[in-house]
Amino acid sequence: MPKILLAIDHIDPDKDALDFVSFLARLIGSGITAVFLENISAEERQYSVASSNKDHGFTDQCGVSTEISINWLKEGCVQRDVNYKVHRNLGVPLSELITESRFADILVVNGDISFNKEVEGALSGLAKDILKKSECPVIISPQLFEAIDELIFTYDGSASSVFAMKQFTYLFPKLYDKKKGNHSPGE
Amino acid sequence: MKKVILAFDASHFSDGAFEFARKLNEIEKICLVGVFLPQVELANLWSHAKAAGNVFIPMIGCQNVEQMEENINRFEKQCCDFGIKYKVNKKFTNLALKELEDQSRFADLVILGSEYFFEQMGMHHPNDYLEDALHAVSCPVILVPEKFDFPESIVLAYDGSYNSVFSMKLFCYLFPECRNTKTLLVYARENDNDIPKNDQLEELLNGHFNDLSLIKIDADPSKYLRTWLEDQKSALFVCGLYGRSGFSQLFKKSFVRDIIAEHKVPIFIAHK
Repeated sequence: MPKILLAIDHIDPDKDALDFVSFLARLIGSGITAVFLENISAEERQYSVASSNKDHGFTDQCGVSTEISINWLKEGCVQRDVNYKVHRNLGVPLSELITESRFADILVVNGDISFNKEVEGALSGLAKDILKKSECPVIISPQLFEAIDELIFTYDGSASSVFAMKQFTYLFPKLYDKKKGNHSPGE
Repeated sequence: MKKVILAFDASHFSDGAFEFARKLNEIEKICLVGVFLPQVELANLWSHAKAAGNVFIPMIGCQNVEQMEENINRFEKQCCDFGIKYKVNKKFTNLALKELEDQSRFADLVILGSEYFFEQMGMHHPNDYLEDALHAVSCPVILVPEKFDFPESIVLAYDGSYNSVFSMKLFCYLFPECRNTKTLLVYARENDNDIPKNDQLEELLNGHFNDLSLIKIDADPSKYLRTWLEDQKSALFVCGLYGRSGFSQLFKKSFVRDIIAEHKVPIFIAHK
């Protein structure tokens, strides 16, 4: 059974991503390993600039919010009938996640996952970095998800497009009977 | 159904490689594509000749064409005899390595006979051309010696590198039926305390193998492991592809070369 990683913002976890990854986990009979990304040092700097009072203990506050998110995830997985594990990454989030991805089969991320709370567009800078550097296939979770009725393979003749198709077929053999389309960029 | 390429050079037919493909077809039906490669890279001819002491470089001459036709007939007959779905590919527009790269992009697995594949191209075994082929291929490769016992156990060679883990993952995807096969993960490094990322590795592999053991050997792998491997009868060795040069990890180029040359076990190698 493949190992599925779910990358989660420790302050603002995404319900839609959890819905989607739970669907995938049930589809392939796997559990979820949730990786909570905590960018403590960078966020602490922002906090220090914004607040002149440093007595609140930023790290403690972060720890509390992460614990709340972890409990939220645990309850969510139980409700969705999916097994789970939790990893907390306290180092540099991107490099920790990339190391985790070496030992995983699939990595699911929300496209707007970010430590910068300003709007970055459909794909955040962090999500783009994850796509570039991940050592396993990545799935960007949709904003709204109901079911998979059709598969669309995009092919441009490149080695990476064929590699992606092969990895997909190895990881999701149960989607074999779905309707398939193949679109080239010119269409 | 997996698409498996069995690649031959113009002048050799590897019985070992065909036998391995036949066994795979017994376990799960495959589509076997016989790729009969043309001549070697013209640009490399002078360098191979110089490095290996004026060895004979195979070209497609009349004799080779006849030999190739004979090999194709043999391949087709054996596929029919054993009920293997097959195709033959012999019309190429590129030279050998480029052709192998292009063909393998659209395949799940390549099988090569490790003893005969372009054996004229070098004095040592494995020859440089086989190593170039391993780097050129765009999907996992199984190197098969001419005489072997079909694997009854799996040895995973781990050194913490991306390639070693990538190779294990590809093996799991291609051979899910090996889930219950006895599997041994080997990590060996002198004066190194722990298996790198042990917990994450176990979490990954426990999802794919039901009979998995991990061992760490406190010894110089180039000495002790070779001896240890001789006791691993009927094993399939899974390892990452070594770099072309300057590889400083555990399963070094020299080590993997030795496995190919001396131990006569099938080897599964993948790289991205």
